[in-house]
Amino acid sequence: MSRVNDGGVEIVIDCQLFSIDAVQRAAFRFSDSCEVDIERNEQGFLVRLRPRDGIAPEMDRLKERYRSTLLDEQLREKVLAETRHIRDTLYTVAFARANAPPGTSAE
Amino acid sequence: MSRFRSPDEYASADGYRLLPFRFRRLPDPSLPVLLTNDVGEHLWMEDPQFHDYAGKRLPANHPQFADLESRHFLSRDDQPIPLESMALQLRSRKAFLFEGPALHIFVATLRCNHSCQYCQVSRRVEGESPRFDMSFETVTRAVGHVLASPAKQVTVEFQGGEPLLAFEVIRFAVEELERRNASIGKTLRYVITTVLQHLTPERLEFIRQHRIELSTSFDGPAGVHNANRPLPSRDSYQRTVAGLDQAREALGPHAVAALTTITKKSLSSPEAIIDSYRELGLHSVFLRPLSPYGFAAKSPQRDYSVAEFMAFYRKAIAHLIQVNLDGYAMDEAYAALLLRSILTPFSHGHVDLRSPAGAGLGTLVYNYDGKVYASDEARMLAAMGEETFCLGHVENSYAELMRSDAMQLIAAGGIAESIPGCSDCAYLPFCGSDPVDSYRRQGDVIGHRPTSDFCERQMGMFDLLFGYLHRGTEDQKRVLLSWVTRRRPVPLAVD
Repeated sequence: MSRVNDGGVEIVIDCQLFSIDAVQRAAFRFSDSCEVDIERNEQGFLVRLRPRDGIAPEMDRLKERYRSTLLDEQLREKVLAETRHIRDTLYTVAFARANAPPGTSAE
Repeated sequence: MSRFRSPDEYASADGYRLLPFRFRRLPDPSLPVLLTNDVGEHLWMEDPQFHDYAGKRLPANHPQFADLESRHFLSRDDQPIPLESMALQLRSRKAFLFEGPALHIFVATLRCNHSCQYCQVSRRVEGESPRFDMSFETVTRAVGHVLASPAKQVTVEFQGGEPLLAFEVIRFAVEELERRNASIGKTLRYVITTVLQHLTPERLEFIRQHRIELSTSFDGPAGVHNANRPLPSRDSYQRTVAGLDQAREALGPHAVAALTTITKKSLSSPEAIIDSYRELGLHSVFLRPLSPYGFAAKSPQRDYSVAEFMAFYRKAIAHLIQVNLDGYAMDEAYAALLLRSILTPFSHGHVDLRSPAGAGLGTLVYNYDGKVYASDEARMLAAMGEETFCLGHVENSYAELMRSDAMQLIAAGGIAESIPGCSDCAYLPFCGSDPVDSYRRQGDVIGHRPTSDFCERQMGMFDLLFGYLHRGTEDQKRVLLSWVTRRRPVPLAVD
């Protein structure tokens, strides 16, 4: 659900489906062109995007872009949760012996 | 009955694990999703297949499955995760971490004969007091730091002002370095950044003997160059070209590298700038946007947006590719180093584009007055009255410089993997963090990527290059590959 308000858009996000982290990360990506405000109410997360002067896309396009971005952020969150331990182990294996020259095994 | 089994019979019954990856949808919606990972691999997937892969529903007989596996985007459940080979790749890409500062910049003098509008440093006029030259005592101490740093291969760059106005400083530094390095055995490479207008046969002979490379600023056609780099005599272009000829005659045809600083006046002439490089027989051009430092920060010539720069850059790259296809090999140096990072297992080595940052960790700058800075930009910032990134003085020990408050600050903002906006960016493996630049532009070492000019420009360049790599013609891709391999491209089409 979304509506136009005060020169911007409000988008209600179901908090059962999306995390606040994904909602915030998606909003961060719009912070170059929009003022961003996030609230939580009984319906879920309320995201307000108010375009800065003259540089924002059309409202419908803005909503569509936010929703697509949110889906990607949710996917990034899932991938990160699933692979974080592998990345941590990779960096540990790679740099555990920081004085060893590159190209050598890092056991 | 077929003699061959169905491909389905080779499909693994087991599932797979995701390995860490990042992804990006480029602005051109017709392009597939770009996937990258920490070890520097990349591949493209159409959206439905991408979601199948990320949801672990991609069948093992899918045409891209083997590619995903070999490039470390997934690991079969019945196989161990190939951490050792991934770690080797990661270590190769971050090899600079094991070297310490390998670029040492000596600001031989602040004196200069030019009064460029966009000069990024504080300059002093040509005939002014030699107190703006580096003293031999400072040189001696700076040489000690060069030789104390862990890097086995070191580049020593002489800058200014115009360093050739203090040629005796350069001569003393090179001789001192070679005398003291005789028992240490580092590989030393020298570069002088110069306008090429103060060369003499004697100086050229010294440059030849010590294999010193020359780097100059050349801003394109005479009208653009003379407007950007004014002299009272209004003939900077003619003087630089004469110096170029003089250097080539003495040192060989490839003795001089050149870069051009893009001013507002340059924006309308991408093709003419490249053609002027070709006319002079140069085979590389570095299209460098203006930085917000020194006199450049106040220059009206700096007043252009990243979007305007990128429009210029796109035209320049398209024209350069055509120049190559017409038979004249020439690269754009910045695109070449980004492509090297994308297409080879190695880091590009560029100190301004590393994570952890190159400032201090990859570069040390010895100012004429003995102060030591983390980067050239840090020195420029100091010339504007901001000493935040001064590590100390040449009288301090190497360890004291490395433990300074300035280095702590750089470390706090210099790891892109931990910075909002960078940490989940698909271009992270090929990009870097510049905390000095973030501090200058946005007031803190971490900065805000969505409104960062640096980030916007980097994203634009990566989008452009990845777009060519995926959608370009075979001829276009062959030209870009030649910039990485430094081989003359051979057009596919034969008349």
